[in-house]
Amino acid sequence: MSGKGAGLWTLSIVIGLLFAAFFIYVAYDIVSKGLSNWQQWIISRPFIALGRDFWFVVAGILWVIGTIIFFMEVSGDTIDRSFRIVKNNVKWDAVDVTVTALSAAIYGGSLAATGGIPIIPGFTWLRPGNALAPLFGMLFGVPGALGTAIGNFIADALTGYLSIGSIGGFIGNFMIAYLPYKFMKDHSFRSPRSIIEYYIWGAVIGSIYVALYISWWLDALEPVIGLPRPLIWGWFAPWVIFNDAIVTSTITPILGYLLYPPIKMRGLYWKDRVGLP
Amino acid sequence: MQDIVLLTLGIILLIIGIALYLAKKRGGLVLLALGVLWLFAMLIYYVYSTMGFYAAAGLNQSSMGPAVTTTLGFIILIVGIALAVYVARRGGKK
Repeated sequence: MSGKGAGLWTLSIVIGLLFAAFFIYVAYDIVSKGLSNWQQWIISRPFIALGRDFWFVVAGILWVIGTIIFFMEVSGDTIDRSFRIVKNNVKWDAVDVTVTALSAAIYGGSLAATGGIPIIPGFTWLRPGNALAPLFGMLFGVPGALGTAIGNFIADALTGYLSIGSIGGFIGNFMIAYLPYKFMKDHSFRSPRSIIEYYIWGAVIGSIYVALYISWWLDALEPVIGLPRPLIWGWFAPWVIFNDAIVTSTITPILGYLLYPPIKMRGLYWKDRVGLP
Repeated sequence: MQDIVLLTLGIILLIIGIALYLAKKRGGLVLLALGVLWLFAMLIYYVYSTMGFYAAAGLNQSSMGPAVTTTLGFIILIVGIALAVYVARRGGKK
């Protein structure tokens, strides 16, 4: 390994460890301050400081973009790097549909398996299964991302959170899988670039995006769903970021490193399925 | 009321999926699968509601809901892993 190569590896590992350490610190901060003192959590501060109106506008823009992307991708179109609308080449044949179903079953099942262990009864539960969402997008592409969306919907039914809000969760979870699929160039977890790209798109941006996407939907439908707006932005949004990022920054890279070779070898990696190099 | 909206959406997805599948249009099979899985979630919702497994939000901790959910979660997870093994053996390339 050249000196430059070793330097890049060190940099990527340091970046990964810093992200993981930050979210472990957030976990410590939440536990030490107490689950009910969410106004004091370090991760809640940006939401409380900037206020509901700011986040409603920012999340609204992300909501519109995410919703357009979801419908485009599912109907067979995508936006390329030159911002042109082109076909995404997903065939939706028997293999793609089976991949969607298995992603839904594994994601929904893994979320529900821990659904009986609430952190705050009536509000949220342990979600280690979140670690799988970015992987399904990175490995299986749009079929995997759609499976993630369906899996979350099934988990909502199994854990008592199914409501109109689940439509936001449906597309929001699609985006957790979609962002690393779309914006990472190397999904192998075997290069410094792959690791750095993953932490940016999969662990950080994906977690923030899903939190803002669902929060905007809950806020917009507050008269129907009934979750108070201060709780949506002060507690729910930061909690979703934390609950997602703590597992996607620690468990997902290990799973991805282990699963990439067998998926690729069996011809199930999405780039091989759509004929990309 | 919210469940009626979700149920209606699931039925619409299923009907469109069946129509596209029978017409041999691209995307028919996935919409059909989406409709079936969406309605599967609604079936769980109605069974849980009838059995009293839900609290005002989340699961009723004094009911069998949490135990049933954990068991069902593992069963669905095992079905998913079995599907993954099946698809891996079959391979993804044409």
